[in-house]
Amino acid sequence: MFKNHKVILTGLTLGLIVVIIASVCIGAVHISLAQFWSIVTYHTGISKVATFTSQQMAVLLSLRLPRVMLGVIIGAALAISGASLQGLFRNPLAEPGLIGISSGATLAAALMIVFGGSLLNTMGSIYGYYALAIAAFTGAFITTLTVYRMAMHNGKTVITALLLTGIAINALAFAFTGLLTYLSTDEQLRNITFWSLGSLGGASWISLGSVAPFIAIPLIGLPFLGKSLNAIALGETQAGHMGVNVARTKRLVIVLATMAVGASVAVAGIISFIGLVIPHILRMAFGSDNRLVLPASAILGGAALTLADLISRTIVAPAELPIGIVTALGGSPVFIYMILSQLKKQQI
Amino acid sequence: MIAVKDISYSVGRKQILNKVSFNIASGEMLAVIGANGAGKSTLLKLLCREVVSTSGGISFNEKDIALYSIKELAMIRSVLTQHNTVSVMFSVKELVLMGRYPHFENTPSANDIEVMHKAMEETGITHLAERDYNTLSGGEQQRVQLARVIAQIYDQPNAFLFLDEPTNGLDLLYQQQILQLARNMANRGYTVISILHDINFASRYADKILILKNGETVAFGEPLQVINCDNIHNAFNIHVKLMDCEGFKCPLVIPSGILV
Repeated sequence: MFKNHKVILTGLTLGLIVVIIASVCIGAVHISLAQFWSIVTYHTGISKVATFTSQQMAVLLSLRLPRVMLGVIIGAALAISGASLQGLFRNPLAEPGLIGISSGATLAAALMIVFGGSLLNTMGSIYGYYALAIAAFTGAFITTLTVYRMAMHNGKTVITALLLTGIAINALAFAFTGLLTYLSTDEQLRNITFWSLGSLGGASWISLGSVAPFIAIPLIGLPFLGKSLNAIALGETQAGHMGVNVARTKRLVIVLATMAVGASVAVAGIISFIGLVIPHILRMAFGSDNRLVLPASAILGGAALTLADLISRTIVAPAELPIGIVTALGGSPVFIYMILSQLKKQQI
Repeated sequence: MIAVKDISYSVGRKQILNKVSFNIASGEMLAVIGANGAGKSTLLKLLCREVVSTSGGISFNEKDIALYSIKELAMIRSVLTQHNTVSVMFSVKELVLMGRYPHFENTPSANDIEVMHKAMEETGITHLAERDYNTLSGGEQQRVQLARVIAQIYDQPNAFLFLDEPTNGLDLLYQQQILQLARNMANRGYTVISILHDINFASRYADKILILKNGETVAFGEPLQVINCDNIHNAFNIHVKLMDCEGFKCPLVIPSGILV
């Protein structure tokens, strides 16, 4: 198995850059590679010649670029939080969507929209996004703690308890979010529906700027926990014997992962399977060393979500598919395969 | 060296350990034996600082263990627990290298890599280096785990190795291999403490034996002094016969019925 971490990470980053360039160029307004290059050089002052139309430039800068960047950071956030939660729960099936963290965040965001609506309006859009992100984070955090308490017994994840708790929380959050739709105005209703389907359609420089800090902290912090999570894979007691402060690692993973998931849900709603499938593919290809899997998940997750978004906005153009449909179509077969292979190993 | 002085441990009203004391010098191997529920595992947990004693104290190299940081402890003491399940796929090499985690931040040093190789060589698992841990047999897995804990303290003089029933579920060949490796560590100057079920293995490999019953010390000393019919009767509630055998420093213990 090929294991040079630097080479793998560089390769994935190159892939991510290709996907980014493809995504900003393809769409209703077509931009050729040469024109893309011209826009870049014109704006950085390298070249004075503009071989592109002003419409192309406007589309690229104010529509596609923020959307693609949002896709990159949200994909990265979802994949890295999935990978780190799987390390903490010692099970590859722990995924923010499956175990109810995303729906906990959605419920909290919906509560904020319906009951804090006037507050959001007076705060203006950027602070409104902050408030939503914090609400979603709080929802995600409470859910994670609940799930962790219910699923862990003597340092071992009871996988049935984990998944059943996820089902229960998903159902509960879905019911409450449904109730809220009866209390909400038309505009609030549209917002809530958008949350439960998942979309990058609301992307703008403002939404990007408001969630970027909430995602940057986990993206920088979580890779440092790779070693501790590797040790926890041997068991919490064993990790303690190896000098890992298990309680501190747990707290950090839960806070950072829920921060990333909360922020993603606040701007893009529930996007499932990224946190499950991306780390799994990496483990299959390069082994389970979290020192590689965590940063690599972030890069591949960013690329995968950007690609999924590209498909969702071009395949039925001029209409747009909810991105959740695309990630589910790509993700659920991998999920089924994972269940089958775990059944074979008798780990369920 | 390890000094254990009058440690007691109780949960609620139940006294699990009661005033156990012993001293073990560097280079010595101690075997702890006793019936199920005698308090052996609790003693090991106290030594690992997983739980804190109700009274009494433990010191490593004349320093109270409460004064060590988690990291300092990990540098000088490694533990082979029972039931080592690994949740995800790791190669043998990666797992043994994890033993070096207390010694490096992000990238293992050349020394860490060398220690990893030596630990694998000593435990005879070099040929398994690239295999997935979860595909190995029980005996191979136990040797990989032992290589990991040896790697953790390999270059640390006066370090401590704790083993919790390391021979459980292994065949006779592997049992002896594991205990011989523990013995070698003691010969190199490490302090080794192992919980064992087999009295004959204990007297053959260990320098000192501690016999526990219901949390109290039945006997502590060299195998020849403590392995006698009375002590075994007392600790295990069984009849035994002792039999001298050529090549064994201590008489063999043969169970001969249940005490009524």
